[in-house]
Amino acid sequence: MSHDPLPVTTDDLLEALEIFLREEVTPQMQGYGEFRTRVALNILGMLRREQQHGGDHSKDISDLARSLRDGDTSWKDQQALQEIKAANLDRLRINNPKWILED
Amino acid sequence: MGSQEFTDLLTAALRKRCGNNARVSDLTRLTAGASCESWRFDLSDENPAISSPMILRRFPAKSEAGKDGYFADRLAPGRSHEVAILKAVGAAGLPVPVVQLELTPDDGLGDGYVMNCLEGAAYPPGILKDDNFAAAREQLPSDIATFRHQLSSVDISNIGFARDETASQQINFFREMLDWLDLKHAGLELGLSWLRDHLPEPGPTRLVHGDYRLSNFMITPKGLNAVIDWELAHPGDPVEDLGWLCVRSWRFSNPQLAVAGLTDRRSLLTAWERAGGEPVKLRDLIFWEVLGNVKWAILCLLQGHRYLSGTDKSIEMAVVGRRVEEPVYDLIRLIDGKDGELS
Repeated sequence: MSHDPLPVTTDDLLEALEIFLREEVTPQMQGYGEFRTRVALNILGMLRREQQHGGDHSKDISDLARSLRDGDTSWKDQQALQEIKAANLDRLRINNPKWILED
Repeated sequence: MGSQEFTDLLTAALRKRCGNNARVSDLTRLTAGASCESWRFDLSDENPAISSPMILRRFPAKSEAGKDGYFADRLAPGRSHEVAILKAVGAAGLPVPVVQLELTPDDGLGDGYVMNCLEGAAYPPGILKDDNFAAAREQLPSDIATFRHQLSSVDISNIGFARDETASQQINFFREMLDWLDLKHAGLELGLSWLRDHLPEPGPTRLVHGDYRLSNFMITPKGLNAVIDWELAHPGDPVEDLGWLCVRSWRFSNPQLAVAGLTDRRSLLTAWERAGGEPVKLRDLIFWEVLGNVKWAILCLLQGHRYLSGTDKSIEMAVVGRRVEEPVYDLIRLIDGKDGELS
């Protein structure tokens, strides 16, 4: 057999962990412990989104970083701006999609 | 160290200074402060029914030798500076906590100090929402501007700061830090090169709080009662504090209100002038807001690095390393004219 008899996926397991933390651990925590439990829940959200996206697919734009530093590309360069925006949005969609505003 | 041992050592430290009847109760860790621990406790004397709330700040051991230590020190110059700043600001008549004792190595509690805990809430979600803070919300823009203006008259000549942190010095420092972390981040380089092209006219150097935002204000229903957490204070441009106040990461439930989720930028500048401040151009305020976003991103990177290097294996250090893209998103919007009231 190539897989478990029931298709309990990675996402299901992460979800179970999230429910456990939210419904059973959080109510028992207060102050600093409650804060850290909330941080743990945020991490699980990131892991679930990363899992659903199949990993981090943001484009490597480190050459552009170098070029901006050296002054070969200007902050006014619209194409550079669009590339930076796209990479930033790709990462935010995993790390914290709620941060993205509607223009 | 166990919690009972911790309480016992703190009690012993207090008895040495305040007499043998000093008692410590309800010692609890606070969430605030990413690089330095804050603990709250009640201190009582002969009569245990009369107690005063106190705060203990503990600084990490200076195990971060070399470059790690250099960057940490440059951002937050440590206990002796923090205590000297609190004393100087207090001496100028501004409301800040009073330092009660400074720990010494024989106290066995590491590096730190104890101060009184002033009245008020430093809890932004409540301040921005709860009905009993409605009057405070009206009052705060004026209180915040007034406090910032009064800070400019504090004498800092005896504190012994190693250097000023002007805009261009900070830009150089951020680049130095990115190189040290070996990070080629196009979003941050975009911000830094934009900042280079938009430097404000340099003005006189004053004390800058460095983390001037709602989470560090003790607020009562009447308004601002005190300003805490002077960890990042340095000499520089006072407008830096106003720009930092506008960084979206500190707006909580009200991202549409640029100034700490309370009001818009133009109203802050009006309050600043009413408080006696020299007129500030909106574009200079936005310059410091962009710089604030870069700085917050750099602080996120530094905290993530502390996790990766093994200096601090705590859950919040790990996750902050993933928050870098939030201020980068916000600085791109500012540079792109999407959020800045400049039109």
